[in-house]
Amino acid sequence: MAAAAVVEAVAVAPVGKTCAASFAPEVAALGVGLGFRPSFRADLFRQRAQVDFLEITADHYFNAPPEKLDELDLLAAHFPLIPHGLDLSLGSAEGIDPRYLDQFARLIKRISPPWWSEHLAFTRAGGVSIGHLAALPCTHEALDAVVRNVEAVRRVVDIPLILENITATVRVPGGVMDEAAFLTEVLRRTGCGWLCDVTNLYTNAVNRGADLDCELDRWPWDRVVQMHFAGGHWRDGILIDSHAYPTSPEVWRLLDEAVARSSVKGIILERDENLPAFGDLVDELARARVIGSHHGRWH
Amino acid sequence: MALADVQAILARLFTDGAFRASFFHDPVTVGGALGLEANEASTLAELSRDEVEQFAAVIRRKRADDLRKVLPLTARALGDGFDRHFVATSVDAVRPGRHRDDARAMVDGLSRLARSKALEPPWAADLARYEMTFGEAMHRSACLLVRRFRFPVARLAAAIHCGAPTGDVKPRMTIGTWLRVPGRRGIFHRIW
Repeated sequence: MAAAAVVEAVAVAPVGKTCAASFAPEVAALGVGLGFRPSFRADLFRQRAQVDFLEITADHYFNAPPEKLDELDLLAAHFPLIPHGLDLSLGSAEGIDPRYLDQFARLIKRISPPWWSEHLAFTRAGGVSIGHLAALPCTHEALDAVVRNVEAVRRVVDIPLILENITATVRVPGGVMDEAAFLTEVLRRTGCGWLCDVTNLYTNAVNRGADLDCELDRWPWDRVVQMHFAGGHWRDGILIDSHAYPTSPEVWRLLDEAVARSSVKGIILERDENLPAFGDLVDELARARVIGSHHGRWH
Repeated sequence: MALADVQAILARLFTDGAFRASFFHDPVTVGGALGLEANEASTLAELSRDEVEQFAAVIRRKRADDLRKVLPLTARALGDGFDRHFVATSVDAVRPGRHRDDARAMVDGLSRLARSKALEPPWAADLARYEMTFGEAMHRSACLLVRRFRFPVARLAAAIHCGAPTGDVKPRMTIGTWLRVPGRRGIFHRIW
């Protein structure tokens, strides 16, 4: 697949409590790519034909030194880039940080991505920055908070936003629906697309002792725009989504099922720690590319 | 109980070990002190302590991993002791941009140990401060930073970077400067 896939048209769904418009970005598929990490930059350019697009961690380019912005421009000159945020805290009842949003908006303006992504989570509350993605209670009040925050974001950024499901280590009591129902309702009311992290889906199911195969029909596959996959590891009887190991056979199987059920436009391999030879990452990308081709998502 | 209150309490539970211990010891009393009704505190007490502890540990590991990226040579020099020093020096509640806060806290903690001659290797505090100063200079649009070290930090950094033995390092007064000029790429660095 050509790396420089062209965005043909993007339909931004209207937002509002009664909005049921679906997020249907008429974009060309991007293919398969990597979450960019500076440590493999040289290898990436040596084998750039194997990587269709990159996901960049948006936060790394906020208030960045000129050298970091040079890196961004270099990447943008060779790959379609999708900015992925970590700390917008879309689930915070106290609202989002306008300075953070402003930095995000400036980055998006600089690279003009076909879409951008954040997590369905909260990372700040009561003046504390948690430093990680915390699960929301699956309540109507949390749902309203996300809708309010997405509306605030849309007033500043008109590029389509997609939301990622997280690993939920802590189940917050008081929920009135499960994660699948909560996500479905969030996407319906905000008009956002779904960044389906298949590893997170699998990790949550395993740690809850749930049979994901029996629940698959309940997830909003029609909203999928992008996917993440990665390998985790076990620690103290808990499966950790560490992005530190090769993708497990179970996650490969789930990825295949997820691609079959959706019209995914791009799949990103995440690897943060314990980086292997770059060729190993390329091998995983090739396998994901075959899955997408097999289901007719790209040629 | 409003979502904002629940999230504020969760954020403290995830990041503040003393608060976590106190809450799970007596959630109704602690919740009451935070303005929760008894039934609200009881609902929140349904949180699994194991899950909260696991998540808090994930956050600590993530911060330690991030700090390793800010102070990679110090992490290599301290080996397994790096995590121990991180736990001893890190503050619980953090702000955005915590990497640099954590680095500063670790440098301060290591420096205190070095002054009381309780740090092994004794030059690790200087090395951490040397690494941190590069980060400080990199994140400013213009600056002139001057730092004094007790040990020959540049030689130590080069040896650790190459995986060479550092040997018996004797103190030697060293001065480093970092200059960043507006509109110019890179940092001009000299060390004597």
